[in-house]
Amino acid sequence: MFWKRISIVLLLAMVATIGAAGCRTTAQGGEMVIRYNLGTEPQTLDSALATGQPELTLLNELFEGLVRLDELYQPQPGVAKSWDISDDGTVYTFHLRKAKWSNGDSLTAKDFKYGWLRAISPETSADYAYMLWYIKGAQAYTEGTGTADAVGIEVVNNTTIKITLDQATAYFLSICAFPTMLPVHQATVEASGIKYGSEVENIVTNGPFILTTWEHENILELVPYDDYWNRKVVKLDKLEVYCIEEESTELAMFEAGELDVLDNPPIEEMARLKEEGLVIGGNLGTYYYLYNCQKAPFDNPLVRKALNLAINRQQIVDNVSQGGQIPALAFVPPGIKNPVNGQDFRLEGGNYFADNDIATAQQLLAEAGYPNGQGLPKIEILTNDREAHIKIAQAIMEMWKQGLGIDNVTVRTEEWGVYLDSRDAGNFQVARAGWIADYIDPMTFIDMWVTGGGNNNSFWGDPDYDALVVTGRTNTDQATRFQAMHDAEDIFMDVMPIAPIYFYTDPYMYKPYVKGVIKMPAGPAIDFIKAYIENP
Amino acid sequence: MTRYLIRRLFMTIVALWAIVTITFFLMHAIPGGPFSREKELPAIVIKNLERRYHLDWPMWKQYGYYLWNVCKWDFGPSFKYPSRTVNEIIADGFPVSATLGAVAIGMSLLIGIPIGIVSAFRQYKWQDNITRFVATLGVALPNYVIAAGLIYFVGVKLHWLPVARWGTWDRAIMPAIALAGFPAAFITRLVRSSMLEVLQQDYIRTAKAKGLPGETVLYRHALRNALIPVVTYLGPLIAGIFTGVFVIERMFAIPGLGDAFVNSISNRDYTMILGVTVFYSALLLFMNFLVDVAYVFIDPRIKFLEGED
Repeated sequence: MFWKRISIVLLLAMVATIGAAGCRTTAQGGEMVIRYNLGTEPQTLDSALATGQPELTLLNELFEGLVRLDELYQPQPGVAKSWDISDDGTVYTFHLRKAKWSNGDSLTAKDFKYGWLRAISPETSADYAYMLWYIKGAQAYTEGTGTADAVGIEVVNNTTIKITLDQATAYFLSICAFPTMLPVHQATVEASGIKYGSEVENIVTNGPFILTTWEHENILELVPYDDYWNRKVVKLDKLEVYCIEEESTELAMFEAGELDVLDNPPIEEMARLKEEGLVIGGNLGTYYYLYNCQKAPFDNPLVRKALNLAINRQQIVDNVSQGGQIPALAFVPPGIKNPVNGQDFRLEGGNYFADNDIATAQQLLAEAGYPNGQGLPKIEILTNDREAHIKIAQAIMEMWKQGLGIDNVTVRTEEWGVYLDSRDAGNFQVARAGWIADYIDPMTFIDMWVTGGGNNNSFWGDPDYDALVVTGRTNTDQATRFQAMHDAEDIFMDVMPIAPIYFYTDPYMYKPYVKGVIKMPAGPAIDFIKAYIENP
Repeated sequence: MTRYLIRRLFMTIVALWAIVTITFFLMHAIPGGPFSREKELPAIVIKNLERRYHLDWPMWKQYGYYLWNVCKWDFGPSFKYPSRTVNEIIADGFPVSATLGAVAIGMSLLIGIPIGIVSAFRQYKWQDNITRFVATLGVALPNYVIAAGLIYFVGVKLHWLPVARWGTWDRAIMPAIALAGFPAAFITRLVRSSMLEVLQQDYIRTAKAKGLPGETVLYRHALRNALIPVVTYLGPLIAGIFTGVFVIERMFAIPGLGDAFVNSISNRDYTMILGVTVFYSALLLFMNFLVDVAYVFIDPRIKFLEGED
């Protein structure tokens, strides 16, 4: 008797479930909405403290700085409608348009000065304070040896702000688009204290979108800001941003029609997705192996070069990472244009060696004194514990064995935080690494390797290289500085303190009805300012 | 009884203290800190950050400071999310995880108990055989396999339910099923064997001999006794749900505490790790305590050790 009762209850439950589920639709009911996955909960929307890619994307939608990056990643007028640069390249004067904050307050030059000083102040301890160290007196202020008044930022009047740099910096305008240089609404910061940037109530914005909802780890909702100066280009009614971390879940949602953009396809599905319309976009980054040039045998450039040449990058890209990446035969990736002649920096610079050049590799190794790999000490490749990196390390291990006869290579896997520690402390022989551009200029890759630089984990250095870096950074003539950067890369790739493996790509996919999305190879990476939906 | 309660409470506090201390020192022993980055931070910035979070104090002082705050139930700021405190993150995430957990527990009880009873009554008949087979599957399949299967077939292929995320009640179904798989199966087998044992008892025979209808025998006499092992199992069940929730929350993009906790470890978010550990431990210890106390009321055969009369 109760057996019947049980089955009735179960049956009712099932029917109710299916009935309710059937009412779910994927249509948005007349409103133009795009659903996008950010990939994680944003760490904060405080522009001084944000460090990750996802935060950059959101900050770019909610705020606007002096300039805004367009489809070609070039700085276009944002809040600044025009600017003058002094002849020696050290003084920038920005003329601001009349703009408003999302709560109605006027946005003036003071808001920029406040935001910048806050970003570099020692109390704030911002990760990216160094992005503003190009400004005179900024570094001293952050390090506590200088005052805020000595920093080269001057509010001339409400719509004019003047910045004085330490030295001429050719790419400074691109830096101005960086979130650390966004204006900040002072009253909100003072009222919210530590909570600034953590909830909808604690943030006031000035960009094309405003934030209407923020449920942590779940969803953020953005709608167009009606008093944005360029309101007419914004076509969406709403942008729904999710915080899904698991790539396979994002893919499942995309395929079930619950997401309109696929931004993080899992590697295992690449092959299948490519046939369904996956786009391989550009991504300014290099995946490479780091040598500890202080430890034998890696202090010998011949050994390093031999090991590099024995790697078959095409095979790694085709069979291991499968993301359509580009084998890297130099360090600076393609996608950066030389403004003098419009040529791509990488195409201009060319490749420095041939992929999988076993013959030359063997020869170099013999010259170094280790014919057929004999006499080489044990080699250990350090990697962090993501599947993809481990597979690549194992592939390279095999390649060194087959091509060079080196059979005592091992792979050491460490968890991310531990791995970073080991790398920074020099506790490795060969380590995997990656570098993504902070701004679009070869300098973001070139100035990593200055002697003793904070990001120079190879412990290599060369005074000629350092001199060229100075030229590249400060010379105002684009032709001269681009030549200097090419020369620097020449020196670098001649001794190869690193082994470039591949240049990153950005695989993504939109639903066919999604249009107008801007994808950039660095920085915010994706921008929905002009996005819209057509014939869903 | 009060003596027993006080003693239990004292033990709980000692256990909590031990957990906090061990976690604190273990955490600081792991290399890599909260400020390790791919693009290395300038030394001055690291120094400022360490100063702000008191990481430059000697270890014993940090420990004491932390312990004092825990007594005030203040777990400090999160390192990873600088504008939010650990208390806030827990307050945001826990209700979600608790709801999911409760639904899963409810499901496993609602499925496990009735089917276990049926299975016992129809021992070795086809209902029993199917049940035992499915139960074995439920125990053997890890919850994330069940989850992946559900997402793919029910979500992507059939569109019967939304694939992921949280908010509407239909989003709770698949994750709850994935979580409830093991417990439901376990409870089924548990109830089945317990019920079989109870049905052999003399008092059941007496009841039937008295002429009582089958249902009365079941509900008034057999069921209560058969369910005692289930109450015992509630403790480990809740613990299992707590930990099972980590993976499920991540797979279904549910904004619960489990996912935040797992991330906090790779983020080296010291305060978050400690706060959630203390919170979960306290909760678990309390739940177990409740179960123990409930036990005494349910089974009159159990007495407190001191021999209360």
